[in-house]
Amino acid sequence: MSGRTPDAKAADTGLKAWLTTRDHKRIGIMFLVATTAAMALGGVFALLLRLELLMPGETIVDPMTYNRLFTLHGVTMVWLFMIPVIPSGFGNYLLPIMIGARDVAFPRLNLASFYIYLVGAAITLAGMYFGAADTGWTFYVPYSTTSAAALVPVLLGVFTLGWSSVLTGINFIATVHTMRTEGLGWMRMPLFVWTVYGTSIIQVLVTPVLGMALMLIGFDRLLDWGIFDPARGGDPVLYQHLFWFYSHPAVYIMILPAMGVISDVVCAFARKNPFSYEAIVWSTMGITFVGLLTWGHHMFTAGMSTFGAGAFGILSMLVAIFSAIKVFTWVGTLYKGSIALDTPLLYVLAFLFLFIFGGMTGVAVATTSLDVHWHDTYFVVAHFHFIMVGGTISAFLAALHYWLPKLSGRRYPERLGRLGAAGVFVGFNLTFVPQFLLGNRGMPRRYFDYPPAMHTLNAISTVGSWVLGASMLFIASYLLRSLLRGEPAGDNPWGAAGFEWRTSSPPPVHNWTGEPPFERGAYDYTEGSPALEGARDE
Amino acid sequence: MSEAHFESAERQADAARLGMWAFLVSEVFLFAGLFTLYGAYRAAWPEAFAEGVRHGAKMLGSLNTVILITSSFAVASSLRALQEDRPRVALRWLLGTLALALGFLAVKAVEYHGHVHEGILPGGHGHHFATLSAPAGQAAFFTLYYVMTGLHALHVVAGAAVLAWLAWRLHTGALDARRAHVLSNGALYWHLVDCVWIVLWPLFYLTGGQA
Amino acid sequence: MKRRDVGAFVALLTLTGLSLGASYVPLGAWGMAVALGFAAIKVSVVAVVFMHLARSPRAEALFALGAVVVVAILVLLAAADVMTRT
Ligand SMILES: [Cu+2]
Repeated sequence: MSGRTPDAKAADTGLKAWLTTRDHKRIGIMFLVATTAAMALGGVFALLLRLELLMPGETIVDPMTYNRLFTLHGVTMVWLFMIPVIPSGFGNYLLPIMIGARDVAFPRLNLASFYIYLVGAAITLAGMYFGAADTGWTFYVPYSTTSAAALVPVLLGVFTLGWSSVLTGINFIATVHTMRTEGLGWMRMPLFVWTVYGTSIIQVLVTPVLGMALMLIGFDRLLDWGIFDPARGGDPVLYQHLFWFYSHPAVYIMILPAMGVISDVVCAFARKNPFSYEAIVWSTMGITFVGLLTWGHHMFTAGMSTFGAGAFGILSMLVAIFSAIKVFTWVGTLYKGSIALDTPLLYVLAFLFLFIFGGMTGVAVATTSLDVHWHDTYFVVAHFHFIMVGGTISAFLAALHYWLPKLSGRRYPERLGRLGAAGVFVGFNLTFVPQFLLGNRGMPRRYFDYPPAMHTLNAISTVGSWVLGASMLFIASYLLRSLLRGEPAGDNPWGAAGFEWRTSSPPPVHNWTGEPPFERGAYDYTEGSPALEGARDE
Repeated sequence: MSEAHFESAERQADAARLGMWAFLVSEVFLFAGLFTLYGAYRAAWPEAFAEGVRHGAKMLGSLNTVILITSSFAVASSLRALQEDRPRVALRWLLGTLALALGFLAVKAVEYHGHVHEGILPGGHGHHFATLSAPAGQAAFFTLYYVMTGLHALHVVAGAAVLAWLAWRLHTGALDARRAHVLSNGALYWHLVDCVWIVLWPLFYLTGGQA
Repeated sequence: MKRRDVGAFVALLTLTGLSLGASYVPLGAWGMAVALGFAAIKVSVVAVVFMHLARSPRAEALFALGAVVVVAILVLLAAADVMTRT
């Protein structure tokens, strides 16, 4: 160890100090930087896919390259961006502060998790690029066991990323259980903490199942063990069972923390306590549990039994109940609130619209008879992009704008923020609403071509993707500028009551100078609340 | 030296134990997918699976069950001794556990060797399957057998490495009664390895009746 | 205190012997249920006595129990699909 005190070392801003840091805030920021870069990369792949679909026939790439591009897009967006971004990024930065702790329970493990992520990301990307993986992000057998592409590196990469996810989950579970400050009971925790906790449980439970499923494909490719090969007693549908036992709850790994962001931002911008704190907590835990039971709805047309399809269809619809409870409580929170239409709240409103739209179409595709028609069409593509892009990315952008002053101590320009939000909303709908219509008319997903009759809708969708891409670029440019030259924000620019705003922005090395002032609740906007001390722009 | 950010040593031990339990849960789920395959494939091939079990090395498997149960008792006794501040006794129990772990692996090696000799390999490879009129179900059985017991054996190796490291720390005195929670976590891991085997044993060695 | 560990050890060996003996009895379809029943009891003994689950904080017992429940759901729902296919 060096001669300097640990605190001095932690305050050091050199590159080496960052790369060896155990400060959850720095690890969170490193995760945010890495995952945002992954989002940009995945976005470029998406733009290329849409460009190919601008015209019928071959536009810019041949069919095989198209297959590789959608594999790159899916794998990058799911495992490099959406799974880790809110839990490992914002969660890392905020969770310890929000429970009044000085750090997570296992800071070294936390740093290890980041490096495992980096290694996994490098293997995955290099593996896909050099191995020409063309299976899509789902790696379905038998194609994944017979494709001429080199798949083992990608499988290994995703396997590695999974362990980063598990270790972060373990860390957060132990942190929430043992590091809460004196007097902070479970039912006083900020809602964002609850959702990250639920997410952590899901990560620990389901990720190893994916790891094992991918490993079995690897065994087949390397050693010809054929564990899903019907000629050797195997069953390809079982691969789908294992894959979706992970990948359906993975949707909740993406959307639950997003819901936590929404809950906290709604309260801050309506200046009210949540309509029902208990309802949000219990629906969070409800989604955590019931979300584990619904994976089979991805396999209605894959040869699953009628009984199985019926059971999974009904279980899937249960999730909609919990989601609806959340939507009602958010709307109830806004009702009669003192609303400030700043950028974070605009993203919340976008989230509400897109999530309801995506959720309702989700109930539709969970209906077995309807799914037979829509399965593997653009209807499904549009549905899950409404949830993942419309839901998770809206929440991600809300979080970025809401907590930017916390992370950097600086403000972004509000006018540009509103403009960016409008651009994202318009671009998003332009891209994905036509896809519902295309899917309903029978356009299958993952094809690089389509009949000329579908040209108009595809062209609109592609133009929408440009609007969306340009808006993201615009947002990135003003946020980066704000990081360097933004106005100083003060400690609590929103006048929010959340615990994280009760320390300086950015917080000191161990988050608190003295005991965390947590006597008043995290959503307390009544007389004498710490929130009222904050200077709020009108 | 380490993270001084815990309020007390007690809290640190709590966090470490809880983290360990969460890790054990993730380990259980690593096996969960394989149990699912076993359940589904056994449902699809009840006869072939029963036949496969009858073909297994029942006595070697049962011997290993006794070995692992004994080792679980030994590591529990080691922890008890350390908590009672008798590190030398704890070390002796721990070395006993380690010896049993190596014994388990040796028996496993004999068992695998026997199967390979008989021409039973994963993926339906080997001359044994050529003699069968309907090899598909048995191929699935023995592939699962190799994957599941092999993964478990890997966990035994990992556990043994942890036990060896703990024994070394006990020997040098770096591990004492005040840091007993470190040994406790190692022991928890070892008990999990035992628990997994307790479930694997009936699946691959006992249930050869018509099921 | 130590008596608990010895008792658990003896119980585990006895259950192992009983389970091995039961495997020679022609139980038909019940063979699997009996064998897994013994396994479940043995795992419980290890968890409660050796792993101190009974005296642990509630969270740890909840994790362990929850894990078992979710694994059971995974196995049963997947097997149910296979068994009800026509
Ligand atoms: Cu799903």
